[in-house]
Amino acid sequence: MDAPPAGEASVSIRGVSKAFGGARVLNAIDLDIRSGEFFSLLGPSGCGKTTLLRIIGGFESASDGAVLINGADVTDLPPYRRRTNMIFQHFALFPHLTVAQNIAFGLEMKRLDKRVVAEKVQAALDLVRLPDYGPRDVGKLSGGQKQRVAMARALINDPDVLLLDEPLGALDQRLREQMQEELRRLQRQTGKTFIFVTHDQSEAITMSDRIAVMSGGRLVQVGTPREVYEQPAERFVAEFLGSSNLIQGTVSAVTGGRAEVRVRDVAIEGVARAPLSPGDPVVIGVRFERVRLSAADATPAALTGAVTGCTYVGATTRYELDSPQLGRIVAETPSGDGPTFAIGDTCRIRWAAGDASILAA
Amino acid sequence: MDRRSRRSPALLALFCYALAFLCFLYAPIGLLLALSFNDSETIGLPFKGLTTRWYGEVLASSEFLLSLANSFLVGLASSVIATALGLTLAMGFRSEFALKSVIMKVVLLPIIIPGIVGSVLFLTFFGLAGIPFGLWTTVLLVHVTWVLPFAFLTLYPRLHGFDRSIEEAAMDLGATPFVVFRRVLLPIVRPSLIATVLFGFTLSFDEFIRTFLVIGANRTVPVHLWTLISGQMAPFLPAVGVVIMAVSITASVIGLVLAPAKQSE
Amino acid sequence: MTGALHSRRRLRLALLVAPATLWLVIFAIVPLGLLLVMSFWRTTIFGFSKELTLDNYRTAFSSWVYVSVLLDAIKVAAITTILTLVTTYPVAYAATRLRGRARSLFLLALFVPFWTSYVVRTFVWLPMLGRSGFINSLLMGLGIVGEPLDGLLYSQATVLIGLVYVYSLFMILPIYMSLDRIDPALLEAASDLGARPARQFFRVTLPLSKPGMVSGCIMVFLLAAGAFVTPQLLGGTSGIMFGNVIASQYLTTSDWAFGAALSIILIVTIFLCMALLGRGVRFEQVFVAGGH
Repeated sequence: MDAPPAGEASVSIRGVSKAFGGARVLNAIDLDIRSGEFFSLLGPSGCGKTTLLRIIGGFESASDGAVLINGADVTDLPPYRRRTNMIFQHFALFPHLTVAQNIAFGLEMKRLDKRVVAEKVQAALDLVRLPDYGPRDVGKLSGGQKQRVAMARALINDPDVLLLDEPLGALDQRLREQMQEELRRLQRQTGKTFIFVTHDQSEAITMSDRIAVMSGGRLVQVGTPREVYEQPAERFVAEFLGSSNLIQGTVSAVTGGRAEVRVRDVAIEGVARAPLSPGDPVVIGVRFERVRLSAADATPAALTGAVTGCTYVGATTRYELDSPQLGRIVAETPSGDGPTFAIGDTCRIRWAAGDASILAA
Repeated sequence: MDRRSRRSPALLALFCYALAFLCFLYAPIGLLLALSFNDSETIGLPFKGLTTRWYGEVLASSEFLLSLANSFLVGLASSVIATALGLTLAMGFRSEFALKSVIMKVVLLPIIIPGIVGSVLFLTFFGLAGIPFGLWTTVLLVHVTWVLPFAFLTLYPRLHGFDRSIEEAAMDLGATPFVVFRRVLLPIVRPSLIATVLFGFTLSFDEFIRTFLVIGANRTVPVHLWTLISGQMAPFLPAVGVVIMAVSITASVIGLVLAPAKQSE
Repeated sequence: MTGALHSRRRLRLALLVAPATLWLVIFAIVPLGLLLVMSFWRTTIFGFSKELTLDNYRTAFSSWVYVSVLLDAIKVAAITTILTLVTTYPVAYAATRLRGRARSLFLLALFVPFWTSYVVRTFVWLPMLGRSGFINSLLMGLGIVGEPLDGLLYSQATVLIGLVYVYSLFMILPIYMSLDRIDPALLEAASDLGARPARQFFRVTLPLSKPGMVSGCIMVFLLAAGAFVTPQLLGGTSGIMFGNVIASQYLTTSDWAFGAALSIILIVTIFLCMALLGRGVRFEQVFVAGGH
């Protein structure tokens, strides 16, 4: 994880831990989020991502450690004293107020002049593309409209950081995709730091500048979507993002960033993602779509497999193979071009050495 | 969750006020309890010593015991009848039909009408209809009418919230409507039914004003207490009050103990 | 086949709905109609003159006595309602700020006194406020007064205390329930948008508990306006309310027809007040909340 240039950190988490009762939900988290970045906290439910977000927003207090926003320590400040705003999971719009009154709430707390407030509310409504919705009743909005109102209500306060707690979870698939684009657009247009909590890996990958993958209350890997997807640091990341073949083996040689792993009778080369030494038990992670199949030929020592299953997924076709060298292997190839195989066919299995990640078992 | 505000002086003041309100609620009851043991011929302070003789007098009074028995029996009978009526109505209310909203308003009528008017209503009706006043005639009818709306309003949300597909699954497996009721619906609502009967019992047991004008020569506990208060302020009155409280609170506690089973569904 | 199934269903529905509906028609609607009719009769020494006449209403409205007692009853009911709302709202709110066992115990403590007859709940105030009662003993013991005060009992203020005491749970419960229903995320959102705890309360909590307040106010107003027991026991002659005037038509003067007219007047007045107070309120919800 490369540290951001000094002075550019928007949010700094310094050794933050959290325990509920006896259970530790966050374990000494250190994290710097850069100004103007779309940053995702990704992980399965219970990994601590929402707790971390709520600590940044001031809704939970950290048991240990400090939170800095734009360099100032806000660890002990309540939410109403922080220049952060939150998009809640179910939006938490005030049911007794209209759309415009909801959006104006934050400015009203600052006791701004009524005319200024009205102007800003209209600008915020325009920003989220609901220009005529001001007088409407919040209860009668659709899910997507509620989402937009929640965005307007938060952004109108000109926060340093916008916190989003799985805001797309309540929406159906089509709307989700629309709102993903909408969120990206708003983030680019406002240039604000967005911290986005999600358990949906594809959402995190498509939307974020950087992703922090969390598991069991700790940060597993922080990096760009491409980095975490293509260079998983741990077995957990390889399993959680996308789908990978995980082949067990033992390190036989290490040279520079590369390692050779003995799997049954063959030696397989790959990129070492962790410090390794010969004899270490490891898994080789190879993504389904990086496995290439071709008709079996006479190449000596080639990896082969017999097709045992074939599923047409639409854009891709998924083959399950039984390989004498590797065991069970799954390959996902683009449908429509390249060779097709039938159950019982024997194929040659290949991948680029850079696509094989050697991970601690 | 919010440690900061939990320590705030405003919240402390709030809890102090709540405590003071509890004192307001319990002070008169505590005093009554103390006076029921006061060895004094007049109700009131000072405290002249401890005695249980007022309880002895109360529990030896055949008038009181008779009114207790009357209240108990009429409470049980009216509560069971009202619960049965409320249950059938609540079952019917799970379907949509034309007069539903009208019936809903009619159900509320016995509650909305002020007690004294309700009492006058029955006096007029039974008087003109020539029904003799008494425990098992007028009082029973009045109490069933009084308890019915509460029984319905307690059972209706329970039945309404209950997953219809369970019933439909039973029907699909070949059960007749009656079997569905006995084998599926009844076991599921039974805890609510018991709680409703007990709730209805306390409503009937505590009811005074609607009973008072139509009871004739019989006595229920509240009516007996009323005649005692209106007559001479007998020194055993606090003991009577305590005994009545003990009975209704016991019924309610039993209802409460049965309630968690109802909520776990 | 489907027609037979359909009519079987309808028959079953009718059998379920009919008993309770019939019961209510016979024992609620018919008596109410009868009372209305009787209010246009006249009581004579031989029974009733069944000619329809407005005499009873004319008597009721031409005499200042009845009108003023009616207005008084409305006034006392209104004051009781406001007093109960103001004194019990913080109690309901305190309950929602407690967690787990503490909350259950607190709610239980609020309930227990209401598990007994309102006759008993009213009666308990006699030893509190009587000549040799607790308050007088306390005042004399502290040397604040030399002689026991008589004015503690049998005044309109006593009736107010009694009514608040007797009906407070009907206010606490619906308010507590609507407070409890408020999504905690809404308060977090308010805090997030810059509202301090006090403003969170006044801008979010208070407005969102309005349905509970309306339910509670309707319940308490209804009960207080028709009160009979509390003014009878605690009010003496100065605290008399309309319910007592109605009762006296039956208990002392035996003028049933006039009593019927007074009853109708009370019902109509209460319903008018409630229509004003609870516009747009669904009454079955008021009682579902209050009935438990």
